[in-house]
Amino acid sequence: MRRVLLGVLLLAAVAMQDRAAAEERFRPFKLKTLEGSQRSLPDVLGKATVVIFFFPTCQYCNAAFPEVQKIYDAYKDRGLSMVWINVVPDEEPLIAGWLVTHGFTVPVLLGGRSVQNDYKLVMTPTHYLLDSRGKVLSRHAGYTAGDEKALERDIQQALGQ
Amino acid sequence: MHGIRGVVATLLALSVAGLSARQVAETRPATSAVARVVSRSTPHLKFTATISPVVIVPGARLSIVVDVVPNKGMHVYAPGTQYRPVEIRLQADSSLRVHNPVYPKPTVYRFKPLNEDVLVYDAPFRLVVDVIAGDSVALRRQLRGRTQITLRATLDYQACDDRLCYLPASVPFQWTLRVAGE
Repeated sequence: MRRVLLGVLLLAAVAMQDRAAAEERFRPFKLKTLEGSQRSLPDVLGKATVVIFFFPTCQYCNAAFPEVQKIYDAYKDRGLSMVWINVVPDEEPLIAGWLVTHGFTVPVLLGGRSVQNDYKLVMTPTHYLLDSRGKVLSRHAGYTAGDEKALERDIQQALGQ
Repeated sequence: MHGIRGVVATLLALSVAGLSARQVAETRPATSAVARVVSRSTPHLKFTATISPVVIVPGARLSIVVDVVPNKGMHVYAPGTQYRPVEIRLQADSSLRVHNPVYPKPTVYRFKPLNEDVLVYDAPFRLVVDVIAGDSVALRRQLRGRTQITLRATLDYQACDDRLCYLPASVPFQWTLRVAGE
């Protein structure tokens, strides 16, 4: 009886570990670019990768992204990959003009309602920092002036600098 | 003696109570015949949407009043900004003519991170929309034969607080109204 109980406990512990490991992985995606081609998670992974969920008329995204763009410019040649995923489909027509207006060059992918559900999004901007295998290193939602410094520190750490 | 007085007092009390109950009972249908109210609550705000009258008379005006109470620290956008304004969207019904909504005066919100002023509602406010059912011969013809109409609407908005923006929301609600015979 004691052996059976021990076995059940062991199995439960293994199952919990598996679930925890699975939760640390960023959920894979396959999304369209503005040009219409497809990109999946492995396509965009760098030595470190920042994925940010946004939509063009999100006020805090507009506040955060000039700083995030600077980080991208500073670290893209050192192994940083970045992608912004639009989560409001009816704002897709705004994106191309919005990128030009603000001088943003970070690649954009077109998400949709399913992305909102898949990643349990309720707010923007929401960003994830991933390692080279897609493991989630950190997650952050919202923007307060100075948040970009914390993101940059995390990126430096992930890039091993 | 005390016993009789007690019985009389009890009878009086019962008759007053009966009267009050009847008054309440009479008031309720009268109120619901005048206006119909739906209430909704989201993580960002609460609102009640009232339509009156609840019987559609061809050619007569229906008034929709939506009272919105943003949660503490939350704001939604007013028309006239580059952001998504709060609005009432009525599902098209060919027999109805929907007038432009009337918005209250918004407040100016200083958004420090972008150093910009935006028009918002961050305190309770009221939106009003008038609808005319069957105000032309053609529209009246479409109303003919219908005993009731379900008016479906959504309150669309996008809310932010002092740190982040929430995804645009569309909250559905509806009223079913009786159509008066001609």
